[in-house]
Amino acid sequence: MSYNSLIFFLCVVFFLAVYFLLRHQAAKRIWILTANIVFYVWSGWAALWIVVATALIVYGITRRMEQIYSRYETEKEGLKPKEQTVLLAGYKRKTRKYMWLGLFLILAVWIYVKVGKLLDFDSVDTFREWGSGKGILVPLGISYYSLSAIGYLLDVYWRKAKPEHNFLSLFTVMTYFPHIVQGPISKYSKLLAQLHALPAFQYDRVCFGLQLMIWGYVKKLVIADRLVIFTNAVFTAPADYAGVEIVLAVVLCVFQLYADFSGCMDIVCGISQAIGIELDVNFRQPFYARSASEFWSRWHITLGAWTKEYLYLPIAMNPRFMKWTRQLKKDGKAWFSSFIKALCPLFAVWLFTGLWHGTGWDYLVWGLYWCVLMTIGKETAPLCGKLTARLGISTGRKYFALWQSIRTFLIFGIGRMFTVAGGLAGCKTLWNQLFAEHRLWVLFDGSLYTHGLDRKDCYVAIAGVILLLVVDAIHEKGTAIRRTIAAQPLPVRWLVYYAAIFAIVIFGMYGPGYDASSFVYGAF
Amino acid sequence: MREKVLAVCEGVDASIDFSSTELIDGGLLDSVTLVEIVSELMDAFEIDIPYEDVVPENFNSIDAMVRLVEKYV
Repeated sequence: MSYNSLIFFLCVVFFLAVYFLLRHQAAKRIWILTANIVFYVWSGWAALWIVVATALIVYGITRRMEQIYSRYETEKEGLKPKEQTVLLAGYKRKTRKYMWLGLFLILAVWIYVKVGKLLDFDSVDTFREWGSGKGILVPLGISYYSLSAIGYLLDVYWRKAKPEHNFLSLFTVMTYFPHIVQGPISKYSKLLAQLHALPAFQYDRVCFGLQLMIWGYVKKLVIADRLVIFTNAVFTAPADYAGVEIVLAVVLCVFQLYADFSGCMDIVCGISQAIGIELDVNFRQPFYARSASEFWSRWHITLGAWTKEYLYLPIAMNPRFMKWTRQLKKDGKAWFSSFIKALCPLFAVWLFTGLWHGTGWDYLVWGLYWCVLMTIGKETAPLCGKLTARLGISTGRKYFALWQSIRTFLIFGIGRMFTVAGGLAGCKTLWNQLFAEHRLWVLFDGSLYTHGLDRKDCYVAIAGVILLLVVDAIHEKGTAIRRTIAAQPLPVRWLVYYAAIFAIVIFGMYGPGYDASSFVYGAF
Repeated sequence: MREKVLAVCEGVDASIDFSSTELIDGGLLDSVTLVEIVSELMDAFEIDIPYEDVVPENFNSIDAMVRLVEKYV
């Protein structure tokens, strides 16, 4: 059941209607769990059992770790801080085997799915088909809930989170239908706290949630699904297109991905907000980023936060790794020590991020591309600072910020070229074609209107992209659009709502025999 | 103690305003700088700071860092 399908929308309306009628916290939680199971079973029963098994493993192991740590809590009384540290280290060693067991089991299923996809196995829905070797079972949202589950397991191991005692609560947040398919990658401890204190109906909050949901549908159905027609046409057969069309497709595919992914986030965050559960923000005006590293603190924020907390920092602060880099520094190799300290964890992060997105070489190269860019950015920052100062360039001026944002946009677009055309061979064709034939006249002779989008569609697409940028510009200035709309008189408010709803109905890309097109990030 | 912690932090990156109480939450300390600060604090005070203590609450301000260091000195 795709988030942009009519059946999903009707189910959500029914879900919310019943939810708002419920008075007791427990009834609300049971209703959320029921909705999660219905949503999940829609993609097959077999996948549900895999998630149940994963939840049981995570629940059992975190409770076991809690038992072990509870002994530390009683024994540490009366000890000095240093003695407590030594005692804790002993108990950590005891919990470590359980932590590794949990990690192994969660990762084993995830790797099985990834390898299955790499070997081009079909996805099957039942254990019978799976048992007869017809394909692989792919649990819905495995790449997302696996990361959240690993994060929860490690948080308990590091004693940053208390384990949940109620299995059903843990299972509810794990399968929470707004975030299971494509994130945001939530911290279970944060979600559990909200699940245990569900707020009462509040008109403003529900309105804001529904508005966010409508804006998400505009992004997905009006902008992303329109742009993808042109970009797919170009990337499926790049050799047939002129250089200028390739450039246009690369630029538009960035906007398409943004509208698609952030549109989905707005839909799911809107639904969640309506019932009083705030999911983490996944996008924060990414096209205003002034560097590659800033871009990734604004784009797919929860994945970046996850890799930082569970990969980058644990590697960078591994005692052996730190000992080695400190020794390098003592030996007079301060620059090399600093370089290694930044590069090694960054390489692991981007290797993982690449593999998380896909298992082909194109994704590995894409990950390496970002790793190299960020390393260069860090190492050349002092030099660039001196250079701009010597040239008299004022880095605080708006034109400089605009140049940096455009540069970051292009860096992201070039990165997309590694993967959008079906692998590295497709990427090579894109680059070849980019310089082989320019044919600038295709911009003016009407050729652009023959690739799936007619003139009117192109105007709507351009208007949509401008709207995306304007909304982001307003948010970047710190203005909350929904609050501004809410402060308007009733006729103005409803004019805005109707405009958005009619935009979805009239300009949404449905096509003959409409079947909801899937979200790009739902495939991970 | 406070002066020494501040000196360590400024030694890592003097351009950061360490009077802030939102060094992590406000995005003033990125991952690379945070790792450098932890490493330098460990060297300067000859202590070990375990990873579970590397949380925003312990690095959002100089005072928070002082409290953390005092725990292990």
